[in-house]
Formats: sequence, structure tokens, C-alpha cells
Amino acid sequence: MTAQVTEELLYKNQRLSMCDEPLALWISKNKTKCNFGITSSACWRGYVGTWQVIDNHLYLIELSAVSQNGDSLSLSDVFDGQEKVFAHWFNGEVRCPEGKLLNYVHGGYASTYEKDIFLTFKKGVLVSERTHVNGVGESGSPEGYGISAFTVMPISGDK
Amino acid sequence: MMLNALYSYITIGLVTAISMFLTSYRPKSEFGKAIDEVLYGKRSWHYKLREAMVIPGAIVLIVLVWPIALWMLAADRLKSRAQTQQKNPEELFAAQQEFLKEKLTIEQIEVRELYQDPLRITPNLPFGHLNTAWVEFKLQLQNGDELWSFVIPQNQPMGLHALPSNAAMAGYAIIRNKKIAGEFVCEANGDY
Repeated sequence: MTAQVTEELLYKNQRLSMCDEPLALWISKNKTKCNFGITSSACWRGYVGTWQVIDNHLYLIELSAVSQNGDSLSLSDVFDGQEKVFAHWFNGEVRCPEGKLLNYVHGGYASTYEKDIFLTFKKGVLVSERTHVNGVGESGSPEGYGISAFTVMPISGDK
Repeated sequence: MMLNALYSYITIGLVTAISMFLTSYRPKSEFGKAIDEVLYGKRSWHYKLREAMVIPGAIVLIVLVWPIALWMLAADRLKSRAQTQQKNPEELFAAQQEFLKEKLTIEQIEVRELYQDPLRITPNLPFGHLNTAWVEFKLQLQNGDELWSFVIPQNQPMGLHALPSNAAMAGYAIIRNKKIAGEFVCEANGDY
């Protein structure tokens, strides 16, 4: 599988790349609302969400997707007019890599970077944070999460 | 006489081959083609030629040795039927008997699964944004069923393939005749 574009997380005034998909459980229970078109091999899930931690609670604040007809879909389209959604269903640890690239892996979220910030949520509430240093990148190594190559796929509604 | 027998053999073989083709052939999906291209790039002309020869080759082979093909098909069907009968239906669920915690009523569950958030925007309904799925889950309930809460610890092997859970999971299970007959996962990291 091609390396995947991450979700985005706004946390402590930083915009982080988040290598986890907190929306997955909600989508699995609302499949008819989430008939997303796949437009790239770098995004098999068919959407990119922007999340924010507000008062220690995890909120989805933006969603970018297209339907299988090629129509743009936003958060309010998928969540019936809501502008923010509290992810009360999410349990688990999210990984947000930072710094220079140490080892590129062209699959999933497997590449490693200088530092990982791990945030743990219980029922969508932030319960702990830790940082793990993986190493020091070489000078000239790319800074921040990136993908080297992907295939763009047309969807049936593309004109 | 010999010629008649040969014609009959080939006719049966042709009918068998065409029936097998019609019942089992599935064209490669667009998604499958895209995955193939990502993994292997553009295929060479000789690969494409070999791929195009697979189905005609299989049809010729079945026409020639259709008794063996029919025997293999029957053996395969019997084997998969036996496997389906052996499968424990409870293995289909993430929740297992050892993770069950507490027997509850629908009313008790719906009171405990109302969520508050600082922005006060979560629907004031049982299971909040998962309410529609909960309502659908309740439709599975039959007379005499029980509802039990369950909690699955992180890294617990679960399901048919014994994959470890990547976070603690929680939800509610339908217990029917002392066996798990349905589950509603409401806390997890992943699609369950």
C-alpha cells in the first residue's frame, strides 16, 4: 500500500500530522453516509479530517472528501449540518510525527521521523501525552511528514 | 460408436466449462486494477498475454479432463461446507464471554451513554453521534435476549484471525441462549 496522507491535528497552537484515523469507528457504523470516492492511492480511506483538541476533548472540525459522483463533501454534509463533532467514540493513542525524516517507508504510516508525539484519548477525552525521540535526522533530510509518490485515480463523476 | 462417445465427452466438457465460467468469473474491479498498478506498475506485454490466456486455457483444460474438474469442485464445496459448520458463530464477534462485565437493561444503558462535551454540541441522545447505529442494533433484540456490557483490553487477540486490539474497546453484547449473538462497539480505535 502506498504511504498514506495523514489526518491533521491542531494541538497547542501547532498543526500536526496525525498517523491515525479516529473517524474509522463512526464510518463503520454509518456506511451509507460515507460512500466516499477514492481519488488517490495515497488516501484509500477517501477523506482527510482536521481535528482539534479543545478543553482536552477531541473534535473533528473539518472534513474533505468527495462522493462517488465527484461532488465535494464537507463535515456538515456528512454530519447533518454540524460544524464540529466531538469524537466520544474514540479510544486509543494517536501518533503525530515531527522533525526530519529518518526512514522512508512507502506504505501506510510506516515512515519514521525524529520525534513522535503520542496523545492518548479515552472516550474522546485526552488522558495523557508523551514524546518519544527516535533519533536525529541527517542534514538535508526532508522536514515533516511527506509522501514520495502516488497514483491519482479518476472517479465516475470526473468531467 | 467411438466417435459418438468422444462427441458426448466433449459436449459435457464444454457445458461444464461454460457453466463453471459463468458461475465463478468476476471481472477485475477498478479498485483491483488500481492496486495492481500501484504495486507492480505497468505490466509487460508478455504478462498481459499470459493473463489473457488464463481463461481460454482453463476452458480447454476443463473440456479435456472435466471429470477431474467436477471432482475437484465437489471436494471444494464439501470442504467449505464442513468448515462453515465447524465455525463457532461467537468467533465472529470482538466481544467474547470473558470480556462480559454487567447485565443491563436498555434503559440503564441509554442513561449511562449520554455524553457531555465542553462545546455542548453532541446530540443529547443515547450514544450521541452513534445513536442511529444503536437504534438499528436494538432491532436485533429478540424475546429472552440479555444485554451485557463488555470491555476488551488493549492488545487482546480477538476475532477469527486473533488480531490484537490496538486500544481498549467497549460496547454491548446481545446474549441469546447464553451465547453472544450480536455486539455494538461504541468505543474503539478502528472500524468494528
